[in-house]
Amino acid sequence: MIQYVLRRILTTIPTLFLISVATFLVVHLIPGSPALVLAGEAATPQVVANLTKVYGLNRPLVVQYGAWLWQVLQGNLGYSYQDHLPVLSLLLQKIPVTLELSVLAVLISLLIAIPTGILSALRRGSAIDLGATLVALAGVSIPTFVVGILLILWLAVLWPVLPPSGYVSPLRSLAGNLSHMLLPAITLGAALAALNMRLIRSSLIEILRSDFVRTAFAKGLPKARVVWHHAMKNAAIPVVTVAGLQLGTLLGGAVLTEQVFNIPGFGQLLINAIYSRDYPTLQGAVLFAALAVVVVNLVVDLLYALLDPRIRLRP
Amino acid sequence: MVVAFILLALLAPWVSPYSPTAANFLAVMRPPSPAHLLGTDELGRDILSRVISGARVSLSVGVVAVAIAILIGVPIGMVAGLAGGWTEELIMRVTDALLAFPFLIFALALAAILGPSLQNSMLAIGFASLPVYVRIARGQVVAERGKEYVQAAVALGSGSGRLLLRHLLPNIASVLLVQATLNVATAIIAEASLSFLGLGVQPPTPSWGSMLNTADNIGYLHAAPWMAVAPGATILIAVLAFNLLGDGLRDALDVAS
Repeated sequence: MIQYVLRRILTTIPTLFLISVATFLVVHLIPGSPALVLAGEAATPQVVANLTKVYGLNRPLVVQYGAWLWQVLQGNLGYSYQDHLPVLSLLLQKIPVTLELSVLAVLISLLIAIPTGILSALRRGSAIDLGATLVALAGVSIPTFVVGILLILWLAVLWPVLPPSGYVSPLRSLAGNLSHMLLPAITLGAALAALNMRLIRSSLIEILRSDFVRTAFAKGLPKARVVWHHAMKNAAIPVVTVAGLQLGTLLGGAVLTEQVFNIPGFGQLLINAIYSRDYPTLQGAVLFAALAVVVVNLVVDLLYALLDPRIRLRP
Repeated sequence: MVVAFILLALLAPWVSPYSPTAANFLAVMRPPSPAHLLGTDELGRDILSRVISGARVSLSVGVVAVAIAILIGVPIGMVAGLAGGWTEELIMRVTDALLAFPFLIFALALAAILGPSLQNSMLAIGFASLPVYVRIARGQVVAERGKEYVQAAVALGSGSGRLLLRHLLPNIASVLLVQATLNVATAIIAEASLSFLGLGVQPPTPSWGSMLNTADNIGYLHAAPWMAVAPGATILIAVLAFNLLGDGLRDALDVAS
């Protein structure tokens, strides 16, 4: 097992290296030098030249990359052009907000997806199945921000039961925090619910046809027990397998959701960095998103190996 | 539904009841009526005309972005699959690294760097979709390359180029077609998201995302909810149409997802 863990971690290194190159290049291929952005529009050529020198922007790209990577490996993502704070501390400040939003969204998505997925799979071809499948397809067809705006329209404007936007720290008021987070979490959870419902439905249909389920039924076990204890355990696997993909969807969705509901999280940091051409922050945020996906994929793979010896024994 | 959507986009200037950019300050934020079927916006512009005009933007970005992704991604993936060895390893490592970037964040970062415009939205969404095609094309070629017809072609002296174009491409085309159809749906969502964030098509050109950006304002939502509902519903219908077509094609062509 230890050998497998080490091998799997080692194979991640080239991916991480290429991610760092891509992140670095994206920002450095921008037309016009970052020094121009830093100096502002009214700056004299002298100021721009000085900044170029101070930030080492006149050095060869490979040297700049090496210097940047060395700093990143030490946990230094540079300083925000906008706030003049370390990018890492900005990220650490915003990520918990997005994490709370994401956890709530995942919970909501599972609350919707598990029952409807099971019901659809058990009543395959029925009106319920058809309806749920169509709603799920609509769910993946509607952009997150449209869901958000329509929810605000419905539950904050036409029938005002929840606040339309804003954020309250849970340390100040838990009730206030949850009431502000509910609409955004439903918004972000909707797309995920649709995705998960389709996954659970199709994998459950497959598993209900397998031998061990037939055996369980033949033993005379009640249907609810077979479905929940025997089939669902296995049907949940595909949902976990795509955790990395789901995290990508969540982070992308969070950018839009936080914009619609004015929540000061990772997404808003990214968008503000784009608006103010704050490249170190943009770079840090994009790097964080990709690293998070790689780490989640790694953890999923390792969990698999822990649960299924066939994987870790494969050469 | 997809055909209707394409026709609407192509015929936009002729079927729009009004000019999509003509402001009318005497008819600001009017609710839907026989004169303005979907109402008017904060500058008195006809929302139906703007939605029809937006179809053009959405469809062109969707189709061009997917075309960019296919034209670059598929050849790279096919070469990787056929070449094997170091070439394959290198290409797939780079692809894996690019796939780690969440799609929307990747597209956003590219759009931010290229600058907001119609062409740049196409490029940003196209490049962000590219790694998916590299992976699919490579996977398909790897699955096909052991088959008899490929070996027969090699035995008959087919060069790599001929093998890829004449023999392998037709056999993986159905998988790519299904993926492309579903991808147009994703690209339309991405375009709407970019222009909602102000990083896509710039005013006065109407796009569904930027219409929603304007409507996303508590005052407008109170006074003129149709400003949000019309473009929102249109995006849903258009994306749903492409998703249904993609699912249908998948079943008809018997392609495993």
